[in-house]
Amino acid sequence: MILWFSLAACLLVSLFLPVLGQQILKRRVIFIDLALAQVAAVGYAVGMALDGNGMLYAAVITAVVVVLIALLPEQSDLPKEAVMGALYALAASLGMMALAMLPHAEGQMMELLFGSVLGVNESELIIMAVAGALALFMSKQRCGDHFLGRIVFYGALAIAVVPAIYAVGVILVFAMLVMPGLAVWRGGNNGPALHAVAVAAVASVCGLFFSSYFDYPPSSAVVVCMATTALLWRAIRNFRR
Amino acid sequence: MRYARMCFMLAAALLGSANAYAGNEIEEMKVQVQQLMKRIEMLETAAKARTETPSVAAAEAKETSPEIVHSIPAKQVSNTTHVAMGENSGNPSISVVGSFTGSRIRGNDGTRSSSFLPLSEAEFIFGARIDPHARLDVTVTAANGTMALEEGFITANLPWGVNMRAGRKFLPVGQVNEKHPHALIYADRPNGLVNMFGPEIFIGDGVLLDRPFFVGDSVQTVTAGYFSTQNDVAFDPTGASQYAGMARWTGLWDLSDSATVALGGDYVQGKNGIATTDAMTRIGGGHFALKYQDMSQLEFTLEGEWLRRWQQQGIGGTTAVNDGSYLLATAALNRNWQLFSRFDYSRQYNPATLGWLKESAISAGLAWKISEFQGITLQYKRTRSALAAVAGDLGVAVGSNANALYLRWVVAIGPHGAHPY
Amino acid sequence: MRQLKHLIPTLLLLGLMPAVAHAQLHIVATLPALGQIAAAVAGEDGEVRVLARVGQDPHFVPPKPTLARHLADADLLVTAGLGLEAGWLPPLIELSRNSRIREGQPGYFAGADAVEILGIMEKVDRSMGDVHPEGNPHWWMDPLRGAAAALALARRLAALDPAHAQLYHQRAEAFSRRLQALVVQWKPRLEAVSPVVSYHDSYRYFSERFAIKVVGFIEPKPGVEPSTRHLDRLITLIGDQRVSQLWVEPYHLGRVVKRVATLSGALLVTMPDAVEGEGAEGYLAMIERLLESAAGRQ
Repeated sequence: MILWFSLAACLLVSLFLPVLGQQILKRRVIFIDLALAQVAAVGYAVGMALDGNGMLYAAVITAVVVVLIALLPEQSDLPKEAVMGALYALAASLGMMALAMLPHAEGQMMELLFGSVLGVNESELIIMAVAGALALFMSKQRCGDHFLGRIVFYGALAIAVVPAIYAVGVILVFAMLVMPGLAVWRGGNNGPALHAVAVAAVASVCGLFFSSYFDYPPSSAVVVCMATTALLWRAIRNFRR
Repeated sequence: MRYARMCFMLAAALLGSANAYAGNEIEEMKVQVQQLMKRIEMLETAAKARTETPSVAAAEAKETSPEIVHSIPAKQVSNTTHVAMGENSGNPSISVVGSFTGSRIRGNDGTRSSSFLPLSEAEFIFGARIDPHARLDVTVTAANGTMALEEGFITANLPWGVNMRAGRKFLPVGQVNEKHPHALIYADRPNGLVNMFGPEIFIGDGVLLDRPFFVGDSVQTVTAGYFSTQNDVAFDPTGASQYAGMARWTGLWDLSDSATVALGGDYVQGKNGIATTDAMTRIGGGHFALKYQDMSQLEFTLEGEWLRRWQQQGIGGTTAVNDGSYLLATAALNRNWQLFSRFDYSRQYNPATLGWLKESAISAGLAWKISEFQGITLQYKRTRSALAAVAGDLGVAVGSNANALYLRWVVAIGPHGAHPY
Repeated sequence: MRQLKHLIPTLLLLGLMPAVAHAQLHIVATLPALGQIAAAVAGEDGEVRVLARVGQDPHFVPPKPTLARHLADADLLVTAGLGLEAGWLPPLIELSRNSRIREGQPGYFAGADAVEILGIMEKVDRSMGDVHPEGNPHWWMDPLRGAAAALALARRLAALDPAHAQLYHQRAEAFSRRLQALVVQWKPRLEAVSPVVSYHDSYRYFSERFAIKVVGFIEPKPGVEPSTRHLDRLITLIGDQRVSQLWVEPYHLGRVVKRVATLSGALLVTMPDAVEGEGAEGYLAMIERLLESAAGRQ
């Protein structure tokens, strides 16, 4: 049972996360997914600690941050990774300060940020499927380099990434976003999205069966498999050229 | 007023010494009494065991219900099962830490270099208490085909709460220099430190005295030291030994049950013998660290450091001013995975143009703790307009940009040491 | 006259300075339950401070240097032993510079030396994960071993502070009697309890005392996340053996445990290794909470 649910969860995220990840790589904002998840978790914790609705607080604070990020134009002088990295660091430290002042919030954040593919249940699968589909749809819109376009893209990212992180954990989501895109990266540009999805799916299946057969933790096994698959893919392509 | 002050000082001195002396005496007597009591206990149990064991056991068993477990004297339980571990057995604790670091560096001036997981560094760390008052720690590092005694120092607990470390040691300047590289979350050395001290760790041979003060909810530590160093970036470029002194203060406060904040400042001063004169090198800086660690190992840290070096180039000559700094954020994604991001910033004053040459770098990386004894770190670092020391370390031309990818695998064998904070 | 004016404040200051010896013993315990046992024995003659908090994983207490200030003036350090605190306690002891409480000194007390140990491994190496080779250190979950430790602690306190030796022994005896009564009262109630599965091997002594079988662990190697195959097998085992309860420490509550509980139908029961409370009342409250949970009353 747990094996099949884990497999379903991994395959589900490998349908939409690599595609969004390629967009992230193109715009060079690798840390944004972590920053958004961090912000949402802090919002949730603050909401619960203030005896409010955690989800509402999380949604509002994430939306605010999305708007703030969208203020930064695509072609700006500042190196984007630096900005995103700084944003992640800032979100983490603010989260830390918030938690230092609100001791009851600890448990909530732990639950959220430490998702595990072993613990995925039916409702989470459905939420991820719906969110992923919505995010794919939104990201396929003409997200030009104007304010509204950027809001749509970062909003899509938030919708896709946050439920996924809470369901299967940050590591798996981060790896799914970045590694398949890097595997099919072709001379400064993204490769075909279908190939990225294929890499992710193959790695999920191999990783899970490997972990099940040899009694290894599943998330780590899938990530290692993804790294190996990515390297093999690139090696084979280089060899063929 | 002067008279009152004298009286007060005299009273304080008298009382202080009386307290100390009386306290000492009482302490001594306490210890002696305890030892005597222990001896008596041992003799008693030995006598009892020899003569009364069967009858005592039977008598006690009759009185209480048969399920109650008697507490067995410590000697009997632990003799057969006590395994002497590590440094409490009289042998030093020996651990070997192997660090395999592969790297791929591309400069925008066309230079490239790569290495694939060579055994870049093996550290043999020996440590043990010599006697109740002192301890010896030795680190022998084998790297690039050479073996060197990188650290070998005696830690002694002196009176009045002062600790002394004498010997060769990584100097406690800033937050990074004192730590063993394999214990850092990132796989390289921060650019700011490379520009300050060069790619090698700033090591000194000498004496360090430090004293921790427990003030309310905080720990304040004051350190002073005098040492000789052969550092050729901060001091004498010919690599000759120069003497220097240092002073340092760090304070650690509890913000809450799970969060702490640390602040610190350092100052180092010594002759650098440039152009065989009495020119001086001065280094000053400060650092901070915010750490949050809750009950489930969710952990965030934010730390930063800024160091500035004034290096007189001979008496009456110019002074070269260099800054090196970094800002590091880490977050635990999981029990075993951590993400980190670091921003390095260095500057060098150029007297010719009266301006500053600036270098910045941003790194991001993932650290995977496979188990307590193994870990892998993957790090990407992008450096812009590298200054001289960093350029030399990366193998690119001065002023160029460089992208570096590091993969480090650390394995450790030996006793399971305590986790650092 | 003027000199007198300056002399009086000095004399006053002299008088206000504190006297030489302290009345109470300073006891520091590493874990909350151990602190409660120590307070039960020391009573008013000892001041007990605890390093870890209730609900903290005893293997992984963050070794904040500020904790060392409690150790600096401690007369007795009470630990669990068997390497449970080896991951965080030694640097704190070093920082405190208190040579009385080093291992082997009269100011160092490890409960594991005073009780019978289970789970000693004959041959152990790192391939088995981060396990406790010298034995399972969670002895304080068994009320009778807690009583034995209290009696040994009373002997040690009597050695350190002979003036109150009688009182220490009396309190320890009273504490021990209460725990024995509790065991006698509860043992028959727990006879027909079905087997359980626990997250980590923390309940070994408790389950052995009350004859409850622990048939599996969610985390087979401590510190290593389980695999899907292990969890699927465990769920089958829970069904086959009609396991009714999943025992979890409060710091291990999370998605994985909840998922296993949902899929297997077993009841998820939080079994704390310490609860808030003072002295004997606190320790007894923990034992009673464990017993009531095991009997299915909570």
